[in-house]
Amino acid sequence: MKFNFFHLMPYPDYDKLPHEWPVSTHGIDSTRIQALYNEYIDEMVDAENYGFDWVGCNEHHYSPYGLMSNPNLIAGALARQTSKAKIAIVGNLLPLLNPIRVAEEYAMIDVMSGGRLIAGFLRGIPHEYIAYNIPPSESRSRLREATELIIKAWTEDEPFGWEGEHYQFPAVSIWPKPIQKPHPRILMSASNAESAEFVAKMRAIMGITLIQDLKIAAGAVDYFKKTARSYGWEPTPDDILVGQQICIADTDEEAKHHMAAAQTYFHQTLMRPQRSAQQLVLGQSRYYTEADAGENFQTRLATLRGRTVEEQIEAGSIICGSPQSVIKQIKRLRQELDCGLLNLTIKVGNMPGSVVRRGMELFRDRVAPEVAGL
Amino acid sequence: MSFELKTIELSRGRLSYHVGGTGTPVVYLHAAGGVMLTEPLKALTASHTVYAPICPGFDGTEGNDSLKTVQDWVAMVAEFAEKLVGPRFDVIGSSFGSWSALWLATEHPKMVDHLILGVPAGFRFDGKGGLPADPDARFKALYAHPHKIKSVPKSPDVMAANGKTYERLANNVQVDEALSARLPSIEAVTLILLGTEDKVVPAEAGAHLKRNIPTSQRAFIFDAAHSIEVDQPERTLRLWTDFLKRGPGYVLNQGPEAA
Repeated sequence: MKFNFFHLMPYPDYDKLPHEWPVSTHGIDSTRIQALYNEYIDEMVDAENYGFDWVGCNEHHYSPYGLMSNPNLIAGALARQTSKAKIAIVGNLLPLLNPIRVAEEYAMIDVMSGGRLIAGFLRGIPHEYIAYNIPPSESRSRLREATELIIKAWTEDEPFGWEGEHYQFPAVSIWPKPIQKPHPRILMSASNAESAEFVAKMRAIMGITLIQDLKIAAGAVDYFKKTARSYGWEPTPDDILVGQQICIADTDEEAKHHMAAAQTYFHQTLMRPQRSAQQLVLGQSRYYTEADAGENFQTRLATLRGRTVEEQIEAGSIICGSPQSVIKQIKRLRQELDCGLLNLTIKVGNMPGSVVRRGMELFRDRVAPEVAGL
Repeated sequence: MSFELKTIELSRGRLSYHVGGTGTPVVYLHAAGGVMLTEPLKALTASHTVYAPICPGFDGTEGNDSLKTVQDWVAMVAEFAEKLVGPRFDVIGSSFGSWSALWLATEHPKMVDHLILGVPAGFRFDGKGGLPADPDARFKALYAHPHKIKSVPKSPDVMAANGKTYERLANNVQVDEALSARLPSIEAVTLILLGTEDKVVPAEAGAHLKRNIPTSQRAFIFDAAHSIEVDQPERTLRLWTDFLKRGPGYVLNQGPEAA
C-alpha cells in the first residue's frame, strides 16, 4: 500500500462560531498564518521520511477550513524541499479555474519535482462555486471539458487551438511539458455512478472519501471497476484511493480523545459556515443530478457528524487508535475496498502539532512496517 | 439559403456540383461518404458562395474511369474552379476532401487563399485510424452525436458506389508520402480541424500537417467524432467563418470591438 500525508492546512485558532460564508477575517493576524504555513510545510516535508509515499494538499476558498486557495504554491515549495515523495494535489478545482493555467502550473510542478506530480482534477464542493462566480450546474461539463483540454495541453507538442462548450483557446502550446509521459497520473473523485463513468474513461485514479458505510463504498469501487472494464482496462489497488481522517497515539483512549476534540472543532467551527452556502447552491442550482442526490458530500458529512468516534471507527469512516488498532483498521480497508492508496489527514481540525508529530512517529516506527507491503 | 444541383462539362467529362449563397467563393470538397449539406455548410452560404463539386461516381453520379488517383480528381476540380469559381478562392475539405484540398493547394498554389482541412485523411501513420469495417462500429466512429444528423440517409447503392469510388482513388494509400513531401510548399494560410473523439483520423495526422505546412494552425473541436460538422455544427461554423474572415489573426480575441 501507499500512503498520502494529506494536509488541509486548517486555521486552528478560530475562537468564535462563524455564522456565514465567506468568513470574515476580522481580527485574524496574517503573521500567525505565516507561522502556520511554515509549521504545515515542515510537517509535509518531513512526511516523506516518516513512511509516507505521497504528500498532498488541496484547494478551498474563503474560510478557516483550509488555507490553500492555490495548493500549487504549496506544491512548488514541496517540489524543492522533498526528493522522493509523490506530490499529490488533490486537487485543483477545475471548473473554477482556467484549465490552461492549471496545465501550465501542474506541468511546472512535475518538472520542478523531477516527475513526482499526482494531478488531482476535482469538481469541488458546492459553495466554492459562489467564490469564483461559476454556475454550479455547469460543474460536471466544465470538469469533463477542462480535463480533456489539460491532457491535450500536456501531450500535444505542436501548437493547437480548442473550441469547446466552456473554453475557447485558439492558440495553446504550454512550456514546459510534464516529465512524466504520456502525462502525470490523474486522480478524480468517483463517489457516485456518474463521476465513476468519467474517471474510468480517463483511466484515472479513483478517489473516495467520507465513507459512511464500507458496503456502500465497496459498491462504488465495484461499479468503478466494472465501468473501467467497459473502457478496456482493469483497475488495480494502485488505482483506488480512499481518504480518511486518522489519529495514531500510544493508546486507543488517547487517540480517541484527540480525535473527538479535533472533530468537534472541525465540524462546529470549520464546517459550520459553509453549510448555509452549500444549501443555497443545492437549493437553487443543479449541482447534483438526481442520480447522486442521495449519496453526496453533504449527506455523508452529516451522517459522520452525528456519530461518535467509536461508531466512525466501526463503520470504516476514520482510522483511530494505537498502532496495533490502526494496523487492523488499515488491513480491513485494504481487504474490504481493495484499495492500494490511503489519503490520510492527520491534522484534523485543531489537532495539536505535538499530536500530529507523535502520530507521524508512530506511523513511521510501528504502522508503516506492517502495512506497506500489503 | 438552399443549394442547387447543377452540372458542367469539363475536358475530363461531366461534373455535378451543388452551389448556393452569395459572397466570397468557397470550394467545399467532400468526404468519402459524398456531399452532406450539413448545417454549417448551409449557414456558410449567408456570407459566401459555396461550390461543392461531386467527384464522378459519388452520390449517384456517373463514374469517370479516367479518374484513377486523388490528383486526377483534383485536376478536375481545378478546371471546374477556373471555369466557374474564379482565379482565387477559399477551400474547405472534409476528410477525403481535405486530402484532395491539400493536393489542390500544392498543384495550384495561386488558386487557394484560405485552406481549411477538416479531419484530414491521407496520413494514417503506423496504420492508426481509418474506418472500421463493421457498420455499427463505423457509424460510432463517424458520429459522437448521431441524433444531430439532419440530412436524409443515402441509399445502400449510393453508399456502396461512394465507397468503391473512394477506394479506387485512395488506392489503399495509408500515408501519402508524395503529398507529405510537398506540404512545406503550401502557400495558403491553413487551418486544420480535428474532433477530440475522432478515432478515424489520428491526432498525429493533424500534428504532422501543422509541423509541415508553413502558415498553419490547428484546432480541436471538443466532443466531436469524425463528422465534426454534424457533431458540433456551431463550433465548426464559428471556426470556419472566423478563419475565412481573419486568417491567422483569428487567434486574437477582439472582444466587443469585433462587432
